[in-house]
Amino acid sequence: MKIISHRLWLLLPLLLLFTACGGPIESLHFDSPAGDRSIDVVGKRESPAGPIIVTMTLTVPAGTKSFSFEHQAGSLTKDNVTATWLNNNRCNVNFKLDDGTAWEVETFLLDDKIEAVKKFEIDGKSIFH
Amino acid sequence: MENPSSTDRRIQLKPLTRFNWEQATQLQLHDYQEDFLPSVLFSLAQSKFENLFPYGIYEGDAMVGFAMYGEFDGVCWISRFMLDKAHQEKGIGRLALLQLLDMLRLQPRCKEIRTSFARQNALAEYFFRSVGFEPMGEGVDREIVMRWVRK
Repeated sequence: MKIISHRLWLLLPLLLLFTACGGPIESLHFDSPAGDRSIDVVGKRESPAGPIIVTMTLTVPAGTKSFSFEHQAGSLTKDNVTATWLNNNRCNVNFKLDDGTAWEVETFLLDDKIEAVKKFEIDGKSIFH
Repeated sequence: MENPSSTDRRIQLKPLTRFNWEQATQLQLHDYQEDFLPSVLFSLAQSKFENLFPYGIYEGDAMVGFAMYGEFDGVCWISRFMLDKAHQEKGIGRLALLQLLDMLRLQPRCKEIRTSFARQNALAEYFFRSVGFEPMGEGVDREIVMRWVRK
């Protein structure tokens, strides 16, 4: 009985660790319609239960620009990160959260300007009231 | 009593040219404001490589401030807006910004007007809110991005 109890104590932290690790983190790549611009999305967890640190790299023929932010979700996959190209220079990247809501990063991939705006909105509604 | 209309105070925006750009480089901010935005000289250099348009803000014949905007795929972006430290808190900035907004909203390519500033710059947020901007997100350099909402 004592042995079983000890094993349970050993298993419990491992079980918690696996639970907290969350789902898979994939590296994603989105090409513009003309294929000359792209967006790379990569993520990593700095602690098992922490947010995913997402880095987006925006690439145009003349150069690249990267930025990072925290994403409070269990996974980062092609199923919960989608890109919608408005034209060859602009793309909205949608990040779905675990509760089904989503927020968006609006990107500009112009020859003379690379910009991205992580919107203060969830499901298109401002988080400011 | 001081008349706040831009006509009486002769607040104007004039494009920077070979004749007045050096004046713009002499404009100064208060020490605590200097971390909030790049120098005019840097901005002018930037305007040579990006689709940016620099302007002097004039009160009468004197250049008292600097503004710069860019047009990027239908979004007009006010990327710099500053008044010389000797001319702040007199209402000049508000009049100049209203003129700039009037100018931009008449441009067919400006489907939307935005600005951005360092997140520590609380005064900028108050200033832009006062003329109808609302926060919309966080930019690449972690600055606050605001969008002008017509009222």
